[in-house]
Formats: sequence, structure tokens, C-alpha cells
Amino acid sequence: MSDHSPADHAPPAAAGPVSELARALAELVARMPTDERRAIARLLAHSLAAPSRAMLREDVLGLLAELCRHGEKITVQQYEAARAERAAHGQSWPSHATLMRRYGRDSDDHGARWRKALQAAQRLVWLGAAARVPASYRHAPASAAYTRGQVTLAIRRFAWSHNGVFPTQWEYEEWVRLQRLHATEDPRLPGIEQIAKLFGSWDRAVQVARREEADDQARG
Amino acid sequence: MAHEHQFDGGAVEGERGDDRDSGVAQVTFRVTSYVVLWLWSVLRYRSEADRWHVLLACWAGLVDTASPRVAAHLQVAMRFRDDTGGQVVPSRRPYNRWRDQQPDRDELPSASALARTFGGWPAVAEAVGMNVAPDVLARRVTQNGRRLSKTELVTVLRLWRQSNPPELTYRRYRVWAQAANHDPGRPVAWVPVSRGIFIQHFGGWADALHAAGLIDDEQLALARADQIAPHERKIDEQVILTALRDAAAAHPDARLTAALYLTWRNRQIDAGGRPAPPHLTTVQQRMGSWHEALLAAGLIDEAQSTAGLRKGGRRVPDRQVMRCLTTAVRAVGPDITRRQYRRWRERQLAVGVRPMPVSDAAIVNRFGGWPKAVDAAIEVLKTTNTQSKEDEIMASHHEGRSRRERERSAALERAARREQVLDDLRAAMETLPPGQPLTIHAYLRWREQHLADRWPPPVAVSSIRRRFGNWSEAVRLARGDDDAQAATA
Repeated sequence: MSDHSPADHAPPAAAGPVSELARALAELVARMPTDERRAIARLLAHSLAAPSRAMLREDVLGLLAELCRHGEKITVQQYEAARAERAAHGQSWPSHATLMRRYGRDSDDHGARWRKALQAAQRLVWLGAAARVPASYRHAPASAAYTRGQVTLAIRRFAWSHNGVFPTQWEYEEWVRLQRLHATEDPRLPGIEQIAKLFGSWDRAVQVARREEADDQARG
Repeated sequence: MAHEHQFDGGAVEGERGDDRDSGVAQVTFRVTSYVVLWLWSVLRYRSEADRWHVLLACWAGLVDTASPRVAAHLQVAMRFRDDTGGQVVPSRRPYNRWRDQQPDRDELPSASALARTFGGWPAVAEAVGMNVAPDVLARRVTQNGRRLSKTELVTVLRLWRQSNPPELTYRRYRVWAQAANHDPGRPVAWVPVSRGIFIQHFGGWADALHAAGLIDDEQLALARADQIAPHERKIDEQVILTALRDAAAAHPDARLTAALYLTWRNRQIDAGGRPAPPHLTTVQQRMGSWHEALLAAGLIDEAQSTAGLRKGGRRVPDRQVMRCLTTAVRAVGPDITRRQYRRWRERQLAVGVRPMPVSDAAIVNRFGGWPKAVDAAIEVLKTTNTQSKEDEIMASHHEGRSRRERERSAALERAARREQVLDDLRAAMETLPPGQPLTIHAYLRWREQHLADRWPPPVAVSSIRRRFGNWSEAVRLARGDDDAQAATA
């Protein structure tokens, strides 16, 4: 065991005070068996490293949604004033330029891009989860159709990066989401629907990927 | 940590394995500690700071430094972290920059070697407590595993049988399964508790027992007979009668009413009485009616049953219904509508008239329609001997007449009513100068003048329109157009 304990350092992203409950639970886990600590650490680490879509959206749109909760038309100046005020309280919110970049198109003018961000916030306020407002309108652009080989390769890539474990459908979906989140260009990872279109079902695609992997390993 | 086991003997299978046959990612049975599941349920929606705090507590001492290479590289990573003040997340470029500045540069591992040791830069950051890497397989910790197969369920049932349960009921099984799942020395890794899974696979609990060889064919047949759903189960009449007698015995001073019975039944259920006494609806459906049930239970005699206490509750006498209606017709007029009657009744109820006027619904039910009821009331009012006419009309509605006769009578009544309307129109025409058509306005003026001196009073324009379709048609018929009259007749 290292004499440098990871716990010596405060986490870089840990913003805000730690609650009494968390302190008590930290004392509890310190006395738990190693296996159980490892299990809870895996869950916590993943939850911190892979924020959900709702978390990502709230990080971006949260302040604007707060400001326009009664349907107000918030201007850029008002937003920036509120943002500066929150910054004084230790809160970090994205600039109006970030919002415009995420919710507007490059072809839109300045006003249109801000209006789209505002509309997204208002839809989130009034319709809630039903509005399905994303953290950004900048989805992956349409790309060439996937081949069967690309699908099985994507599944095998998952297995390569997870010690040979082939994914379940949910795990693959989550992995693709995270890969796309951090990618600077299209990672060419087909979604579940594309896989189902090519193979009929997820299970069938995994079967084929497994066989290909086994064949390649047999060939050396 | 999640333990993964093979089902057939509880042997630990290992960290993970692949189900090569099914093609589906293998998720074997696993039992995660309840403490871990509870902690996760508490922490998963806490703030980032809280989760980081607990995560760091978990990480303390978790880094596997059994390998000298890992230990050495971890030391280097820690040096990098400390030198950069914990502000720079380890990655290739910052590490290379930092490494180039170190006096012992050549002894430090390259960026690639460091990343390879931990499985990537996110893992390096994680190892030094500066960052976390996504682990999409982490959620397997909280999964129950794949669906159990029939063979596995049979194995579970046989294991349960080995514990010698006093009876082979699902309730006994559930107790055993729950205890088994909490027992660290359980014979199998995971025991299904829900009955649903047995029903899905075998069709029923008894069928599952039969498949496991715990009961024979005869026992299965008997069990199936007992597995009738509650709503399909026919309650024995004796049970109903006993319940009624018990309810009556609980209220010796009062006559047993339906409301009283329901109150008694609810009390029995609250007190834990099992099986629950049959519901009122069940009593009524099985015995025909509440009063027939009381009669069968010996709580009322035949006379009470027949003297007005019939199905549906106390029946208002026919004579009272007719008196009520005739009073309303006198007060409102012969064209009384159902809504007008309702308003009139509300006024009567407001001033406390006794006996209370019957509802319009009761009248409609008794006569088979509102117009029929009004016509019958007018007929009664026309006669001098009201009493006998009332009886006669009501008798015609209720006694001895076949349906065809009643329909014929109604047709005759309709025809009579029609003639009366035409008479009214003709009378109104006679007051007009020759050649002048009878307009609605003229008829209304005439009607207003003769409301008091004609009996029955002249009908309303709306009634004429309803009866003949439109005003012109009524006037044409009243003028004596024989062809039209014949056609209509």
C-alpha cells in the first residue's frame, strides 16, 4: 500500500460544503470490508464521472431556468448580472456565449441564438421532463450508415476497454453516450436502434461480436 | 463488493465471466451487501461534494499496490500531483512537461508506461484521488442478475423442501427465501422471493411444486381446485346466512339493515376476523336481494317480505305516485316537463311537504316514460271519480296486461292526445277571419285566453311541434286535409 493516500487530497470538483450525513457515512465506510468499500466506490465514482443527462442540462441551463420561471424574457445583460451575483456566492454558471453556442446554430444571428436558449429554458420550466430539453442542441451530425463490421467493432471496442466483458444493452448505451460526450469528433459508435436495424436484435449483435472476437483470438 | 456465484452449489464463479452460449453479456447471480445498496440509495442523489467525500473515504487504502511496478508508478503519480499542487489533472502533456523538469527524468516512467500501468489517464487521475473515471459496469453491483431458468427454480424448491417445511405453501416458502437471502451461509447464492417468477415459468405455485416433484398429480389437481381466484370463488350460501345471523345477533335491539350489516362487517375485518364476512353485494347477488337474504336467514317473516319490502328497497305505492304527479300537473300545467316537475318537487321538499313527492326517475320507471306518465295523470284529472280512475290506470300499467296490450293502449292514448291537439288548433282557427292562416303568434294569443276555461288546457306550441314535426304540418292536418290525415293515420 502506498504511503500517499488518495484521500489526502480534496477532490478538484468538490464544490460546496460537505453535509453531516456525508461525514458520518464516510466514517462508516472506513470501517467496512474492502470488497464493500470497493463496490460503493465504483458506484460513486461512476456517478461523479458520468453525470446524467439531467445533471448536464442543469449545469448549463439551471440559472436561466431559475430566472425565467414566471415567463420573463431575460436579456443577456440580465443573465450576466445574475451570473455575476451568483459567482459572488461561489456558484459557477456558464456564460451567455456558452448558452448561445449550445442552443443556437452557427447560421443564426446573435438574437436568434439567445432566443433559442431562452426558449429551451422556458420549455424546461413549463413542461418539465416532458419537454426533453437536452444540455445542448449540438447533436452528432448525420453520418454515413453503419456496416455490420462497424457495429461489431464498436461492441468489441467496449469489451477491449472493459477487460473482455461484453456489455448489456444499457451499459453499451451509457458507454456510447459518455464517449460522444468527451469526443471531439464523431467516434463512429452506432446507437442501439442502428444495431437493431442491422442485426434484428441486440443479443444477436453481441453474439456475432463474440464470435468475431473468438475467431480473431484463435488466429492470433 | 458484489459476489457472483454459480447457482448449482453456490461456488464463487469469479469476478466476471462470459456466457458464450447465449450471446448476451453474462450477468450471473450476485448478492450485493445490503449495506452497500443502502449506502448507494442514500448517496446517489446527494451533492457532488458529499459523494466525493464518501468516495475518498472508500478509496483510502484501496489502490492495489501488490505489484512493485504499480507501487512505483503510483509513487511517481503522487509526486506529480503534489508538485502541481493538486490543481492539474494528470494527462499526457502536463505529465511530460513536469517530467522534463525533473532532475531524475530518465528514471521516471514515460507517459505511455504510466498510463498503461493504470489503464489510461483517467485511471491515473483516479488512483491519485484527483478524478474519477466512468465505469459503466459499476451498475452491475446493484443488479439482481439475469432471469432464473426453470431448472434453477426447481433446484431452489428442492432445497427448500430439504428444510422440511411444515406445509408446502408459498407463504412458508417466502419466509424461508427471505431468511435464506439474509443468511451468509445460505446454500445458494440467491433465492427468488416473488411468487410471480414461479407463475411466469410454471403457470402457478402448485405447478411449480409439481415440476419440482414435491407433489404428485392428485395433489396438483386438488391444489388447482383451490387456486380459483377470489372473484371466481362461489361462497356457500350457508356462510352468507351465518354471517347475517351473526350480524343480527350483534344488534339485538335493531332491525338488521344493509348499512348496519356493512358496519358490522367492517368491524369484523378491522378486528382481524378471517375469512371476512361476505360483502353486501355478494349477499344480494347470491340471495336475489337483501330482503330475500334476510328471509332465508330467518330474520324476517314472509309477511314482512311481501308487504312492500321488495327488491330495491321500499316501494312507493302506486296511488302515491299518481297523486304526486296529478298534483304537479295541476300546479304546473298539462305540458309539464320532467325538468319542471323536478323544480316543483324541490320547492315542495323545501317547504317540508309530507309525504315527500317521489322523484321524476321513480315516475319514469313506473310508467315507462315521462309523456306516458303525464298523459296518465291528465286522464285521471279528466274523470270525476279520481280514486277509481287512478287505480284503474295504475292497474293497467302494472297488472295483468300483456306487453302488446300495453303498447296498444299507449297507441290509443297517443291517438286521443293527437286528436285533442288538432281540436285545439281547429278551435283557434275558428276565431280567426276566414282565409287568414293560423300563425304561432295567433295560436299563442288564443291559448292565453282559453287556458282557464278549457279542460284539458290547450297544448303548448312546443308540444304541437314535437308531435307533428313542424307547425305548418300541424295546421295543415287541422285544416282537414284528408289525404294527409289518412297518410298520417
